[in-house]
Amino acid sequence: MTGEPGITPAAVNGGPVASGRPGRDPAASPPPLTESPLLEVRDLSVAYGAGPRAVRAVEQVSLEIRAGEAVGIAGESGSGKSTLVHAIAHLLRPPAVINSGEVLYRREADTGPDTVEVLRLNGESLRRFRWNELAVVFQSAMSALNPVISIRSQLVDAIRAHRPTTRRKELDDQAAELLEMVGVTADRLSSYPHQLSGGMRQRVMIAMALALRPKLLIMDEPTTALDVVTQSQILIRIAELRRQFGFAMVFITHDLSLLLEIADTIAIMYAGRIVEVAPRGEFHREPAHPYSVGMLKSFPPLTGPRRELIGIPGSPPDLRGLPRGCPFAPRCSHAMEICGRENPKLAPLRPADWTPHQVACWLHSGDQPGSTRPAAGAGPTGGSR
Amino acid sequence: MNGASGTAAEPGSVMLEASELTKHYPVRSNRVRDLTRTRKVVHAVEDVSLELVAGKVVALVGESGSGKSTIGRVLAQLEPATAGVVRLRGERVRRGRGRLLRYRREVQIVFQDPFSSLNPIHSVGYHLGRSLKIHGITRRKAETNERIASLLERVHLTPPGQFLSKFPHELSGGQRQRVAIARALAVSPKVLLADEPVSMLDVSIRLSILNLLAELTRREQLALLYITHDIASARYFADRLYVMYAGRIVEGGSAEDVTQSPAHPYTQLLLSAAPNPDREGSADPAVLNSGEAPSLISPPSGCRFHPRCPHARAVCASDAPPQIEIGQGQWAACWLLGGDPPGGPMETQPSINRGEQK
Repeated sequence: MTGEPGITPAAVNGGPVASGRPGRDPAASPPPLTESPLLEVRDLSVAYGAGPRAVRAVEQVSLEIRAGEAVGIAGESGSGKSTLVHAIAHLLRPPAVINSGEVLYRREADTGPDTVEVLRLNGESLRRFRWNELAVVFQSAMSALNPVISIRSQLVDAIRAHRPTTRRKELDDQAAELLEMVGVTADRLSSYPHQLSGGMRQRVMIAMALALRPKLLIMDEPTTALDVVTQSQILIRIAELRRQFGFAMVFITHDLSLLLEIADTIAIMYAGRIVEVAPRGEFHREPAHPYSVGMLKSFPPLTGPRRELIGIPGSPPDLRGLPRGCPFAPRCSHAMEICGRENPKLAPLRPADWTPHQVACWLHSGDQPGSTRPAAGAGPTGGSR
Repeated sequence: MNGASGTAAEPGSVMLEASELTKHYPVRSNRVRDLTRTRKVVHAVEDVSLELVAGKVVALVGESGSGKSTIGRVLAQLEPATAGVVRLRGERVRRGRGRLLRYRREVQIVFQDPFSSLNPIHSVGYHLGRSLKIHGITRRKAETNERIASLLERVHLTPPGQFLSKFPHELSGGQRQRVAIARALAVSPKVLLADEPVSMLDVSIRLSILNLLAELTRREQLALLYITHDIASARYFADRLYVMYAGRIVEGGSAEDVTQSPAHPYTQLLLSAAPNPDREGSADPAVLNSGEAPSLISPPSGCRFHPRCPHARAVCASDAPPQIEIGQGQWAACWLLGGDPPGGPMETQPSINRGEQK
């Protein structure tokens, strides 16, 4: 029995769910990326507060980001996407508590590659890690820039804090170069933040983030407050800079249609969990999780036939006291009995193939639960807590 | 269900009409006033005409600062217009205390932020009962309660009993916006102005609110103005669409015509900048060098888009362009569309009928 009919062709678990050997179809699936990821999030759980009323903002999230890759994380407000990247940059402060998990960053040090446990960094080592290896651009550029200091001084300060021996002339040149890199003319260097438009302020933030050429740029809704034309200008610019410098990027937004244009890999978060990860094209063609399907259908198309769309019934859940089982089950038109009982784990969509497409949904678990579920190690019974 | 509403509007009749509406805001700057005795103004809306029709959704699309919300506020009589005329069912609207209350029985507005448009210390029932009381629609308590229940049903907050005594903080964003819509519907208005009604809401529930508004428009023959920055949702939801840029409407027509064959260079820019996963290839690189919206304190002369327009020519900088009819109700305010404008031959433009000036 396969329960509900699959929502997409991907729902039909094509390959034989045989004995676990990854039989690879060379035409259909890309070769496995053997290189180790630049950043790896393992089993991360973050809560705000403690006890039964704690808000479990991020629950057992694992995620890999390869060098140069653009990973887009989409989710609604309260899905935990912002908390996740704050944890990656080790920016969380109380009442946020990291309950489990680690963040590993692979750095090319002078002595060869080594692995940094980001969550254990502190003081000087953390300071050196940020900006040099990883930089963050936040949504509100207005509050991120100091209103009483000129753009030049802010850029120069950022560079000098990390490269204290740089000479004054060189600093000025670098500041001008950074601004021009993001499409702001150098005569803006002596401006103050309030003299710049919102788009320009956000460009300055991006310039500053790239000042020390980090390997990973985290962008937390960087264009949400901007107009579409400005947003598009900035996104095109970021794509150019990525081609030029090859940095990896984690891009957070609630706007899935935007991610489909800029990300290589898309991760969908719901109620603190990653419910689906897939390469952009595959995600667009055959989203597997009912929530992903609903999200894709929540953006009316600009071209093609006009037809009635329905969005997703219900509202996003309250993270205090989530019900048992899959957190999306109350809104899911495919929900089965098991969905209200047990939370599905993120597992490869086609266990028989090698595929980077993973989904956390009982519809795609191959077997109906109750019977044994060989994929992905974790048995469905009992969960891990 | 719709008991207290007056005579139903005829489908297709013009309910609210703005002609040559202009709104300027004075800029407070003591220094400037003292020295020069000239007052600077923000030219927020300039010379805007539009019609809202019973049973139809009209979308007003523009970026922030384009003046779209100002039009909503002027139409809702929250602010006086600097110049221009508003007509409700053909009758010129004048200001005055008693008149305002009567106007609001016909024209209601729903705001963007359902978190601040509802009073946190009052229940849902109080919010809805209050507008019934102010407008004298129901007198007896039983009648009021019955009517509140029917309002909640109309916005699909069912069963109504469950929501009556709830406070705003107990509701999700989508539910709050439904309460705001129900409150606007309490007086059985003929015109509903919706200013970015879904942009504060979670993506997954936006469509359900738009679908609700579409349903109400059809069923109750409302004339609905949908003010938005999201041209894709306007295409989905609206019958007619106006595009605003820097205080002026630059193009109008059926939502499908304007989005599928945009005539004004700004509309074309807006569409190529909008996220669109179905687009072939990446975003148009022309967007990259398209500049920013101008200051409205000293807006560009002539066509306000000319400093950013890739096709601009001499006339665009000196004279405001006329509205050129393109056909089937679509028009655009652009010199490029008027045949041979002064200042050189046409550049490559889609072949369109030689327009006539309006």
